Parts: sequence; structure tokens; C-alpha cells
Amino acid sequence: MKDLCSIELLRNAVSRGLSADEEAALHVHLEHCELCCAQIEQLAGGEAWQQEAASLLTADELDEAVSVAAAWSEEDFSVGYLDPSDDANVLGRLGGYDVRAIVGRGGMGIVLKAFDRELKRLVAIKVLAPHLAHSSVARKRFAREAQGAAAVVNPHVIAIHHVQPTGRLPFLIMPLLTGESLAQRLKARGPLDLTEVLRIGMQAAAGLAAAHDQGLVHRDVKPANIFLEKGIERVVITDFGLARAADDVSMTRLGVVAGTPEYMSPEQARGEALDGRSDLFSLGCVLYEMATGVSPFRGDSTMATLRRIVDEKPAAMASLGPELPPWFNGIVERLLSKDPAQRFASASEVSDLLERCLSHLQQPTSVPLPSSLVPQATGRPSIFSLPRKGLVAMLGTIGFSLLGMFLWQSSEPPDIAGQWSGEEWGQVVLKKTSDAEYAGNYSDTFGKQPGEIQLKWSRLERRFNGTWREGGDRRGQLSVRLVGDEIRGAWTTNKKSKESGTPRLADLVWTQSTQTAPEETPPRFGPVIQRTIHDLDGSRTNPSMIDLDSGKLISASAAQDQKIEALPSFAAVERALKWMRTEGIDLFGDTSGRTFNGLDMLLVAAEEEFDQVTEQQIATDGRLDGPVQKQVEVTVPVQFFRASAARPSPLLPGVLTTEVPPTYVFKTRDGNRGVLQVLGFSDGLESMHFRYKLVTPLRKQAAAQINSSKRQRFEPVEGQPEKTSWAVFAPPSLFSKTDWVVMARMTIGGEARIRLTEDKQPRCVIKLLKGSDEAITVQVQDAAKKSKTIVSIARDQSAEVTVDGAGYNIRYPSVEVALEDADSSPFAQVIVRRVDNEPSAPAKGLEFLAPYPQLHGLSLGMTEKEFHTIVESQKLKVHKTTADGKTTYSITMGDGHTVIVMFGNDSDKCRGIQRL
Amino acid sequence: MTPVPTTRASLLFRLRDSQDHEAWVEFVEIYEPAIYRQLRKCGLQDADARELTQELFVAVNRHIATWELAKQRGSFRGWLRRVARNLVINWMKNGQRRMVALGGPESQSMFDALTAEDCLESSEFDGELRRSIFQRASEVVRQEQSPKAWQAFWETAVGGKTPTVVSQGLGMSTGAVRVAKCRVLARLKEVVNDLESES
Repeated sequence: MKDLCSIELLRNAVSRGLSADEEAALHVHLEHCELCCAQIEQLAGGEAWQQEAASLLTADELDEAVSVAAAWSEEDFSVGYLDPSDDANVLGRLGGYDVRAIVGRGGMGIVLKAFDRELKRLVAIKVLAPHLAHSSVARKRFAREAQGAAAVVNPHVIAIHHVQPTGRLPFLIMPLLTGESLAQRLKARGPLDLTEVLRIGMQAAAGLAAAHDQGLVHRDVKPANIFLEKGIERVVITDFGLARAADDVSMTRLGVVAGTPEYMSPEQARGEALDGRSDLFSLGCVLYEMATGVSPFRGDSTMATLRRIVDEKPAAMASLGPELPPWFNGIVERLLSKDPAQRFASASEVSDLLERCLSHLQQPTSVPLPSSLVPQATGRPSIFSLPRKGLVAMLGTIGFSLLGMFLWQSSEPPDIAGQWSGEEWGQVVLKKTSDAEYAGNYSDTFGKQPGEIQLKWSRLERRFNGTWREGGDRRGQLSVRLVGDEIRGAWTTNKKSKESGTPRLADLVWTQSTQTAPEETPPRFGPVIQRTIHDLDGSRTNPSMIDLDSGKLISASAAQDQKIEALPSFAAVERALKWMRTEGIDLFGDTSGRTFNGLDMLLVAAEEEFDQVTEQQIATDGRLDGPVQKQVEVTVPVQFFRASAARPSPLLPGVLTTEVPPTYVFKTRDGNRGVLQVLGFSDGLESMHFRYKLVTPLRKQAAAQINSSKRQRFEPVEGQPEKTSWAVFAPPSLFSKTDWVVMARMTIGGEARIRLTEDKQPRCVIKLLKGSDEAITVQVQDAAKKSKTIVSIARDQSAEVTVDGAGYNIRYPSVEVALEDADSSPFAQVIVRRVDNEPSAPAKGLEFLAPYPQLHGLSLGMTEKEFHTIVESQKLKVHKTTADGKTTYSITMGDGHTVIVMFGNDSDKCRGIQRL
Repeated sequence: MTPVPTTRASLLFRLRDSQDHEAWVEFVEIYEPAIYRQLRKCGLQDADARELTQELFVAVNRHIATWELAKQRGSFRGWLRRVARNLVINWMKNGQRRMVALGGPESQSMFDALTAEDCLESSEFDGELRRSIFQRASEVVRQEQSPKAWQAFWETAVGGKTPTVVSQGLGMSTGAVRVAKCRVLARLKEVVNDLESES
């Protein structure tokens, strides 16, 4: 053998490549020749080069953002659901946590990095995705499963500190892990060596075993849900519970599949009942991918993947490159058995087995291979087939149709004819049209045309797939199956019709309804609000209606005569969310005064209901068919509402206990939205104010329609540009008990009105937190627009304002926040803090007035006019004497003392106050 | 750090032809991550950084035809940085509404970060660009190498493990691990230099 210490050889080794013999010889040589080792390193760029490569190739947080962000949608980055925070370093607040960053996105939700102020630790918050959060079914599952997962205590299962099932978006709190997911590692580094495969597989199986012991099936075991902790190399299974929440959503194949089906088990792909063995199949897929770098059932399309899972054998791992021991092939083969009974019995068995294999691999001589894996003399044939591409593809097609025939016989469609009801669908009536086809209709359409459904049984998928349609322009697909006595599934909206309503993908549950659907004859609607209204004498309790346009009360019988009915109502939050989705409304996305921004009000006024008018209804009634930006104030004589002393008013308590004015939304033919608010009472309690306004949806398309629509009925109010914007409210419960945080949003030069409800005399601390560098003007007035207080507040300053009033008037004091400077930002975050009524104190030097709270406003130097204001407001009896050009007022107090207030003749100022 | 050579003219000439799809792909693949990361370091949110990156490419597309190599005083990168800076400043001015629309106090810190003079400082940007080139080069080299060789390189050079440890895990001899590592490093250098000189 020639001398291997040859620089030429080394140079060729790194640049051109060597012959097989040379290569092998060099490998041996480099085992011991340190000189050549150093030399070849030098030829490869030297230490500096290697260091630079290492540091620049190591991924950091930003790289993750780069690599995953492409698949993110704008929606994922919206943090509109966070509460504002006073800390400048956080995005916002959620629950008791300061959210600092968006760190990732799981299948079902967004992961936020947050700081737990109480426990002073960083946590991860997983928030259910908004598109799922609107569905109460998904929310319930999210909560139930997250709570189930929280009960699993195992180092290989992500801990769940806290579950918050309620609120706008449910969320759960988990420890913030550092490291990467298995998916990320595989992507960055390709297949892993067998030791790693076994180590990760063993730990993942142990985690699954702990979950299975609690009766929890993960359902979505895949590399992205297996987390490798940095440093200690611990494997943690994540996304428990969330998988289940998405069950029906991800199970459908409507083209919009949430999550990947690559790791699904055959029984999962067929939509059958699952147990822990389904997770074992998925784990088998993961082991396969770890060893080979590719997942076993990857297909060109979702459908192809599912088909391969159900009826194809994966390619032998050996055909993909790595040299793997036969026993490992055997383990993966068994995990990938199509029949759950052929797999291992439990995850703990798999974990134990992998652990023993790992020991064997590390110490082959001292630890024997588990006996179950020792090859038999005549092993059963491998389930793997070596791929012969063309043939396999052809056989695949034939096999597929054969399978279809087989399933035809084995899966007759269940009978789903009958009446069903479900959220967002109303009453669903399905009729059988042929052996495997159903047609039907549903009642809860999005306000336009009747809804129709076509369903066809898919023998292969064992589900009904089909379409829904409302009129000509709104349609989508749905896929359902019968589960017990419920129909479950998911539905999508066609892209083209998406912007006119409904989410892209949502799940559905229909339950069998026994009652017959009422015959739908479209009633005539006005913008009518139905209340049970009592007459003055309290004699009548029939539901009556108020025609808001005319302000007239319509009795129930009159309404019946005129065929006017109260509007159908829905659960407030559901409706508001639907509306928001439809319009693509971004709470903070638009500053124009035309847009209704009070959606938060709608959301928090959950006890109120929303009314909706259909196009047909408007067409026959027509009262709201008009151009945008119409505002109408309606005054209804209060006698309709005033209750007798014996019986409290049915309306007032409901109005007064909400933090926000009751708000109703309705829809017009043009796609405009109307907003109706109960504003409060007029002076003297003689009448009640209602206001409604029409607003333009954000969509340009809709605006175009409006321009071309008939406008004969209403014209915009002349010369009255929309100025009033809407304050966005959050109820006190969301914050501290005494603070209202008000996001006031203003058009330039406009104003926002913030209304407070306060039993006692409210005092407000108003602080401009941000938005404008200029001062803002705050006007505080009561509902009767009396006692206006104007303060100017500079940035970061606060001012205290007392809202005055008496009786009903103080129920709706309002704070007007107006921007003075047209160039300043049209946004202000205002904190309105309730200040508890502290006992007032007299001015300095006038301590002797302490026993008389009504005189605490007196001060030396006040003007005579100011004095009279106090006299009037406190209803004081004064005796005035004028002598020597001095005016003296004497007030006789209840305790026998007399207080003298003296004004000089040459000035208007108070010159002395005395108690006798 | 190795000095970064000035942008080679060829890619830039090709970019001037907006129909040269390949040149654009190449350009975007290298510059996009670099610009994005730099903007993120400036404090922009992901979506904003992404959008601005897009805008920057639009601006490059629009102006590259009038950008003349000979007359331009600075390098292409310098020009790109100036365009980026102008975009950021404009975005701040016009984007106020949107920034406050984000609603969080982060807009203020964003302001502060953005107004910092060194936001798009040249050495930082060059660093990001080099990083981006490395990432791109590693993709190229990885495709060429066998998975095992790549893994041997990765675990020793990037992961910092000894050849002995890696050889056990991969079932290779330590000599084979050493050769694989050096071969990949050398090839990586070639590709990086190629890309550097082109971009």
C-alpha cells in the first residue's frame, strides 16, 4: 500500500472525490494519523471557516419565523383578542398573563409567549384559533380534552398549568419549552441515527402510555407534535386535546384539511371509533420517518394519502437507503398493521420494547435483543413491498376500485332522512332521493335565500359528502357522518362566496329534532324590538312592539293584524361573531366614521340578543332600505315603559344592568348593516331615546352595490358628515373592579362618547395613555347634556372629572373625548376609573365647615356666581344683606349655628367665611 | 468575519430584465431572509417585516432598470439598504394608523427601535446576508451529499460532537466521519463563495 500521508490525496478527497479503494484506505488512515486529520481540516477551510459555518447554520428564533411563517395567514397575527396592557413591552394581556410574542402556530391554535406575573415565570399560552372558537362544539371539546390532558402527569406529556375554557377565546397555559419539534429537526437534518430513533420513540411511547392510561387518545401523533427539549434532550408530546377539538374538522376531506393526514391510522381515515392503538399506528409512521427521512404514506393529495393509509403497504425502509436491523423493521411493520389487533397491545409495551432495544444497541454484547424480536427460522413474510413504480401505480388503481366495491358491500349508507337541528343551520330537513343520496334544506340561512343541501354517500370514506347552497351566490361543501343519533362533520364555504359570509371551515353537529319544522311563511318585519311592555295601570302584559322608525308602540294584536312580527333572535355572541366574520370586520382596522366599531359592545352585551332582517322582509317592509349613514333618533313616550310601584318595569332593569347600551344589529337588502342602540332617557323622564344608524360594510363590492341601489326612500342627512364615532367598551369584569378601559376611537376632528353606568355619583379619572402627542379635550356631561365639564388632558396626564346628575339621568353619564388637533392620531386609549365617593373635606383653613358637607365647596376667593351655584345645587336657604357695599349671606345650619359668607363691594371675590 | 465582496454585476444585470425569472428567484431566495431578519431585528412584527420585504422587492424591481452600476456611488447593497431605510421611514409615516391599530403598547417600542439610527446599519445587514447565503449554500450542498455524510458533517461541525461519538451513532468509521465533514465543509465554501460573488 502506498504512503497515505499525501497532501494530494487529501486535497482530492475534499475536492474531487476518490476511488472506492482510496476512500476506504483513507478512512482507515484517518483513524490514527493525526497529522493528516489536521491537514484535511485545514484543506476544508480551517478552524475559522468551520466556526463561521457552525454559527451561521445554527438556527435561531428568527429562522423559525422565516421557515414557518409562509404558511401563516394574516389572521394568525391578529392580536385583537388581547386586552390592552399598560406595559410597553408586551403585546397585550390575556387572562393574568402579559403576552410578549407570538411564537408559533399549532393546528388548532396560536401559541403565545407570555409572562405569568404572579408566579414570575414564562409560559406558553395556546389559544384556540378564532375560526374554531366561534363553534361551541369546538370550545366544549377543547375544554374537556384540555382538562383531560391536564390530568396526565408524565415527563413526556406537556404539562398543562391552567385551562381557561370560557371567554372570547379559550386558552390553556403550558410551560414554555425551549428546543425544537421533531418535524423541525427532521427538516433540518434529515433522518436520524437508530439510537436517536429509539430514544425518541421510547419516550414518545411512554408519554402516550400515560395518556392512554387516562383514557385519552392523542389522535394527532406526528413529528410536529413531538417536542425535543433543548439540552436535556427530553421528548415531550404536545397538542393533547387540541387534536380532539379539531376531530371532525380535520377528518373531513373537503380540500381544506386542517392538519396533515399523513400520520393518520386507517381506522381514523375511515372515521371509525378509535382507541390507543390508533396512536400506535401514528407512532409507527413517526419511527419510519425518523429512520428514513420520509413519511410512509405521503401522497400527492390528501385523498391519495388517505387511500395509501387504508390500502397500501409502505415502501420497505431498506429501499430508502438506511441500513436498519431486521428487528427494527419488524417493530415498525407491526405498528403499521392495518388491523389494530395486529399491532402491539399498548403503548407501554412499545415503550418497554424500544427501551430494551436501545440498551441492546448501546451494549450489544451484554444486553440481548428482546426475545420477541429474535428472528425466527422462517419469519412471516414482510408486509412491506418493494416499490416497482409503474406496476404499483397500476395495481393501486385497480386495488382502489376493488376496495371500493368491497366497501360498497360492507358499508351501506345509514338512513339520515328526517329532521335535524343544529347551530348555524337551524332546522335541517333531509329526504332520501336515491339509494345513497339525500337532498334537503335548512332554515338558518345568512339572511338571503333559502338554504339547500345535497348529500351523497361515499362508500370509501363512509361519509356523506355534498354541497350546501343559499341562492345563487353563496355555497360550499359539507361532509358529515352519522355518529350515534347525531350527524357530525364539517362544512366549508366556497372561496368566491366567502366574503359574503361564514368561515372557510367549521364543524357542525346536528341533533335529531322530534318536533316538526314550522311552516315558514316569511313574516313582515320592521325594525321592531319586542319587549313585554306593561301599560301604566299594569293591566296588560302581552308582548308589544315598538316601531323604531315611527316611535309608535304596536300592540300585539295590531302587529298581528298588520302581519308584523318581532325579529328572530339568536345568541348574541354567536351572531356577532358570524357577523364579524362575514364583514371581515377588524375591530381596530378602520378609522372612518362610517364603520361601526362597536363590536366589542356587541360581544360583551351577551345578555342581549341581536335581531336580523332578511332581504325579503326588508323588501316587503322597506323601512330600512336606504343609503348609508342615516341616523335616526326616536323618542318613545316613557309612559310605555314606566312601571307601577308594585311591579318594577320589565324594561328598565334590563337596560340599566348592562355596562353598555343594549345594541341590536340588523341587515338591509343592500348588505348594509343597521345598528340600533337604546340610548337612554330624555329630560324629565318623559321619553326614551332610541337611535339607529345604517353603516356600510367594509367591502368595496358592497359599497358599489349601494351606489347602484335604489335610494328613493331615504337620503343622507344633509351637511351632516358622520362625526360621532363609537367607543369600544370592555366591561369592568375584564379588568379590575373599578376600572373601565376604554378604547376610544375617533375620526379626526370627531369625538367618541363613552357612557358609564354608575349607581352613585360617578367620578372618573381619565387618562390619555397614548395616541396623541397633543392634549385631548374631555367633555363630561350627563345624559341630559347638562353640567358639562371640560378638561384638557395632556399625554400621560390624567384628570379627574365628576359627573353630576340625579335620578335616572345619572344612569348614563357620558364622557366625550374629542381630539383638538386634526393632525394627531385618531386614537386614544382612555382609562376611566371609578373613584369611590370619599367623604369630602372643606377647603384648607375652613375646617370648621367639616360638619356641613353641603358647604364643602365654599372657598375664599370664589366668585359670588360660584357661590350661587353651590347654593342652588345644595338647595341652601340663604339670607342676603347688603351694607356698606358689602354683601353678606347668612345660612342657618341645622345645629343652630349660622355660617356667614361675605363678598366685598370692590371685587366679586369672597372675602370671608365665618361660623357663628 | 470574511470580508464580503461587493455584489457581482452579473446577477444585477440579469435583474434588470424583469423577465429573467431565475435571476429573481435567486435574488429573492438570498435577500428575502436577510432583509426579513434585519427588519425583525429592527423591531418590526412578523407581518410588517414580511410586507416591507415584499415592498422592497417591488421597489427594487421598479428601480433596478434605472440604477446604473457605473454611476452609482455605493454598492448595490448600499443602495438596497437606502431603499429599505426609506421604505421603513415611509412606512412609519403612513403606517401610523396601522401601528396604532395594532392596539398594543408595542407600537411605541417599535417606534423607538425604528428610529434608532443603526437599524439598517451596513455591517449588520452584511452579516444577515452572509447568514442567508450560508443557509442557501447548505441547502445546495445537502442535496448533493448522501444523508449520512451530511449528518456526519452536521453533528461534528455544527453540533460540536466528536467524530468518535458521531461515528458510533451513524455506524461509520471515525475516518469516514472526518472525510465526510471536511468534504462538506470544503464544498460549502465553494458554494458560499460562488453565491457571494454573484449576489
